[in-house]
Amino acid sequence: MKILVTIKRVSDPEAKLKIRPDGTGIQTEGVKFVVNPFDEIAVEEALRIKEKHTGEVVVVSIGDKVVTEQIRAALAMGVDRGIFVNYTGSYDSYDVAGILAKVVEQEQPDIIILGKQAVDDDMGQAGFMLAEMLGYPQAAFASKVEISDDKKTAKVTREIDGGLETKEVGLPCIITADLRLNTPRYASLPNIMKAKQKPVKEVTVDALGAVVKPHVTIKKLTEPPKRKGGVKVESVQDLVGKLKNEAKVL
Amino acid sequence: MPETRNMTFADREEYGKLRDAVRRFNLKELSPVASDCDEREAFPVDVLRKAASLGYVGPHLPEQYGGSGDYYAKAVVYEENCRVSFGYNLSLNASDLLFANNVARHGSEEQKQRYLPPVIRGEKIGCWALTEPDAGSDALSITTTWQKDGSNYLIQGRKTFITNAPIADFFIVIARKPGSSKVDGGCAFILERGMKGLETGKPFKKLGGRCSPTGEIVLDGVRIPKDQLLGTEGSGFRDMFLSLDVERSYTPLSSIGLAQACLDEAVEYAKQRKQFGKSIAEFQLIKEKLAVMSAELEVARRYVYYLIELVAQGKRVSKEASIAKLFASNMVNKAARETIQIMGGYGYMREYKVERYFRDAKLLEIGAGTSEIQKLIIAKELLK
Repeated sequence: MKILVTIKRVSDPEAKLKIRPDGTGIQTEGVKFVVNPFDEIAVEEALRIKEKHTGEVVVVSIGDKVVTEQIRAALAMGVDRGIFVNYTGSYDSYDVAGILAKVVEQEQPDIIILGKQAVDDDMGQAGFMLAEMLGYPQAAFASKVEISDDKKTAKVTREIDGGLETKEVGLPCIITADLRLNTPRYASLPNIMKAKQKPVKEVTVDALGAVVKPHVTIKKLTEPPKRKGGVKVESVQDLVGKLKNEAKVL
Repeated sequence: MPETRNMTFADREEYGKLRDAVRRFNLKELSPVASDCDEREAFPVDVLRKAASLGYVGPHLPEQYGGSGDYYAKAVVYEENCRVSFGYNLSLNASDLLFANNVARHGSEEQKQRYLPPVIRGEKIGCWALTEPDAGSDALSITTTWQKDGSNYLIQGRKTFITNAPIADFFIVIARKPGSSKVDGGCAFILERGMKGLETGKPFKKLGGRCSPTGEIVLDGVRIPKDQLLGTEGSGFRDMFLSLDVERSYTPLSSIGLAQACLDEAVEYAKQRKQFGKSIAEFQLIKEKLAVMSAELEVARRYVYYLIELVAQGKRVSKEASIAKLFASNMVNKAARETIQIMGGYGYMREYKVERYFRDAKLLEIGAGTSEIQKLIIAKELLK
C-alpha cells in the first residue's frame, strides 16, 4: 500500500509575524519555519496506516531548496522517502493541485493525504481541487480513518455540527486531515539519524509537465487594527446600558 | 551553511534536528510538570519513560543494548533537558551516565545484558555511589569496605548525597579493602534493590534539583556473589577516575542549558516590562547584563562542545573537563543572579521559573567536583 502525503513549509504558528513594509507578504528574516501542523497530522496518519497494513509512505513538498528541511523532518518521523518539487515562483491553490496531480500520476499512490489547510494562508482548497483533477473520491476533514482489510476502501469519519459523519470511499482516494485525527509523534533519535540516508528526489515543474499560472495573487496584507483601551463601568446597570445602547448586543 | 573549521558536531544538520525534536518533546511533556515536580520534590518518571521510547535516554550507550552509541547526541539531549528541568536531567544522568556508562565501560557481557537495556528503556533507574559522610572531594578516604567471604563479597558501610538513591533499582557502590589506603584496594560492585542489608533513606530536603531524589545508602553486611564485581578486583578507583573525566565533561552542559533558560527569560522579560514609559530593554544597564550573559554563554558553549568532541574521540580530558566545569558553573551562577536582578521582585517569586534556575545553578559549583577541586586539577596539569 502506497500513501502519498503533501507537506507545506509554513512559519511557526507560535512566531510573532511582521508584515513587509510593501504589504506583499510577511518578513521571513529570523522566523522559524515548520511543517504545516495539519500536514504533520497527515504524516502521522499515513505512518499509522503503514504500520497496520504495511507499505510505503512518500512525502512531497513544493518550493525552493529550503523546503527539504521540512521533508527531512517528515523523514525523521518515519516517512520512507521524499519528493522535492523545485519551484520558486508564485503559485495559488489551483497550481499546487495541478503539480500534485502530476506527482500522483507518476507515483500512483493508493491514498493521498493532505492537511485540511495550511496555517499560513488558510486557503484550504488544494485537496478538493486535486480530487477534481484526478477524478478521485475524496473525504475531507477526517477525524478518523479506517482502511478495509482488503485495502480496497476507506471508512472516513468527520466531525459535523452536532455529531459525526462517516463515509466510505473507494481507493485510490483523497483524504484531508483535521485537527483531532491524531497526535503526531515526536521524532526519535534513531529515526532522525536514519533520515539522513533516506532518498529525496528533486524534480522540476517542467519535468513533471505541470503548468503554473496563478489565478489568484495576494494584493495586500494588513495588520488587524490595534485594540483600543477599554473603559471601566461604575455599576452593572451602567454595563447593561452600554451593552444595549453602544454595543447593541442585548 | 558552508562547513568551516570552527564548526562542531552541534552544527551538523542531524544534531540540529535532534535538538529541535528534544526541545519540542520537553516543551510539551517536561515543561508543564517541571515546576510542580520541583515543588513536590517528585521525579517525573512518566516523562523519563516517554523520552526513553524516543531514544533520548542513554543515546551514548552501545547499540546492541538499545542505545545509539552516540556521545554527541547525549550532549544535545543533556543541554536541552537542563534548559527545561535541571533536576530531571540530574536523575536521568545518574542513571544513564553514572550508572550505565560505568557498566558499559567496565562491565562483563552478562552485566551489560542484564543492566543496560532496562535502563535505556527507562524501566529501571540506576545510581552511582562514592560519597560518604566523611569522604567527598577526598575520594580515596572512603571507609565502605569489601571482604571476600568464600565465593561471595561482603560489603559494609554508608553512602550519602547519592543522586537517585531513594528511587534506584540498581546501584554501583565503590568500596575499599580493609586496611588498604591507596588506590589499589578499590572495587566497584553492582547492587540491586532488595538485596539483604541494603537500605536507602528518605529523600533529603535540598536547595535545588528538587525533583531529583538524593539520599543515603546503608550497606549492612550485604553479601553478593562474585559476578556482581564491576571490573576487576582492585581496579575500582582507577576505573572510577577514568569515568569521572567523562562525567565532568558532561556536567558543564547543565550550566549551558540552565544559562540558556535564564537568558531566554531575561530577554523576554526585558522586552515586555515597561518602566518610566519604555521597555527596560532600552536601558543601558539592562543591555549590559544581557550582552555579558550572552557572550559568556556562547564562549562557554563552544568550549564545552569542543570538550565533548575530545571525549567522543576517546582523548584524555582531565584539564579540559575541569576548565569547562569551572568556567561554565561560574557563568551560570552569574547568569541566574543577573536574570533575577533584571526581573526584580518577579524574579524572586516561586511563581516564575528563574527562582528555580537560581537554586539549581548552585549545585553546579559543588557536584561532580567542587570549583576549588577543579582549580587544583587544572593547576596540577599545568605544573606537571
